Amino acid sequence: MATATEAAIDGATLLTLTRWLSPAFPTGAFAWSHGLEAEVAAGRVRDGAGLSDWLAGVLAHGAGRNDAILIACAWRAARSGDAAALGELAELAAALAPGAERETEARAQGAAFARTLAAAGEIELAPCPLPVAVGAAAGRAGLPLGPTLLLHLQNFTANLVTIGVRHIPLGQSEGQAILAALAPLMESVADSARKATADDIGGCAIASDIASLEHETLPTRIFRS
Amino acid sequence: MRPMFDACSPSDGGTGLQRARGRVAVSLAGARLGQLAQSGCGRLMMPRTRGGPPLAVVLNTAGGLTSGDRFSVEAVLSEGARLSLSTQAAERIYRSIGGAATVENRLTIGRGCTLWWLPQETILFERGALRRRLEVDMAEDARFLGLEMLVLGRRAMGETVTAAHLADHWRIRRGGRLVQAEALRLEGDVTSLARAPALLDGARALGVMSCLAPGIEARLPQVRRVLAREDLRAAASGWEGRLVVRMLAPDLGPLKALAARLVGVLGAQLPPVWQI
Repeated sequence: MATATEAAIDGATLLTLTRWLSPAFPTGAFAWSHGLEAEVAAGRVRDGAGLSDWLAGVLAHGAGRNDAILIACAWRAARSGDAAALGELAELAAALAPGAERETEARAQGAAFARTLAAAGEIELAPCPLPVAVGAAAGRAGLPLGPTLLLHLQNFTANLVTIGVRHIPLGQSEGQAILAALAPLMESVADSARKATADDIGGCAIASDIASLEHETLPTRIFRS
Repeated sequence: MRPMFDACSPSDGGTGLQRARGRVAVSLAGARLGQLAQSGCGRLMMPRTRGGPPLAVVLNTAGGLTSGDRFSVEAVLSEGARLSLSTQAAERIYRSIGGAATVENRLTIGRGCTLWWLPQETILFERGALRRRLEVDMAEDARFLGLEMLVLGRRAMGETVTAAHLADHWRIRRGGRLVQAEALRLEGDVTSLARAPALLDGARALGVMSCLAPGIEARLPQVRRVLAREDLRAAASGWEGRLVVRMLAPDLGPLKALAARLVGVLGAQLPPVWQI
């Protein structure tokens, strides 16, 4: 499976995708914990095993899966030049946010992603939440959907692992081990999202949604969500 | 299409499945009742109430939903109408023998109108399958209070749910713009979903309450004071004329009691049909 992806991807594509979907790309991801800060503060996520379980839930039944489907839908809409469909996806992506902070998390990162691409002279995008921006940009640039989904999921998860490593805290290598162990799950989420439509969106990451609402009233907040 | 009059009688329709059909529709223009339609196993009662908006109570005479059943509720409010919509009893989603039950609810809330959507809980039984959709189309200055409570089996009856298929969606449009989308999906191994820390975190009952009205986020401090007194896991957010409360509870009792208190804090009244 890995070989097939490797064979299909050329050097320029690989470099563009890893640049866009890397922690160094200035979306400000480091400021958003997706509710994890509240879980750590409450002692509900307090070790590597707890972080790994929590991330697996968010990936398979929360924003991981839903954002992957939004990326796939936005990618297809961009490929066919369907601006109306992209507008509807942007509205849906924002409306799916469980609370104020998660809506801002998606919108602010999407805006920063689009701003950077425009300023770098790469692509002009209408402002939209992050998954729609990623899918639209990859579609417009003719980048393959499968690797886009995989790298997005890894980027999203790696950001949360970094937050866990610093604030639980965990060792750097334990963080990497968690990320490596989640790779098969990222593959299956990406794989099922490829052909999914907006009707397939849905999840049950309710505790993590509640954590993002609890985050609003934490006495000490390092992150914006 | 089978005739409506036998819609609740057992019949296999050539598929081997018993199917029930139910539909109710109500429209209010100001204080005047426009349409009141009911068919199949759908009934709509409008008991007299003292104070508050008129109350409409939906009843599914089939007593529950299973494979292939269809049910729908439609309400259209105009000219400043106010309405409280509830259900006579819990909605029971029984074991599916193939295919899901489908529920489509559609609420249109015109300028200056108020609608409270306060159904009683949905009980999802082992291997229940439900596809449910609530579409709300509201004017910018309309007021909507919506609630959904789901419980996985009844603990007092020793029931557990290990597998189910649930897709429960809300789409709320205000002034033509989609502002809230709820997408609950419980599929497959429900036991592990219910245990997982980012998912149901050990809860058997879950709920979401959403209020959309101009300036409603000003009630957030009051809502949070109510939540702070609770043992169950619930939290609220409020922004841009919206207030959302998400709840996880060990069982239905505490969830429903909390929802009842929140209804009052958000300026609505509990439908007298509610059994707490």
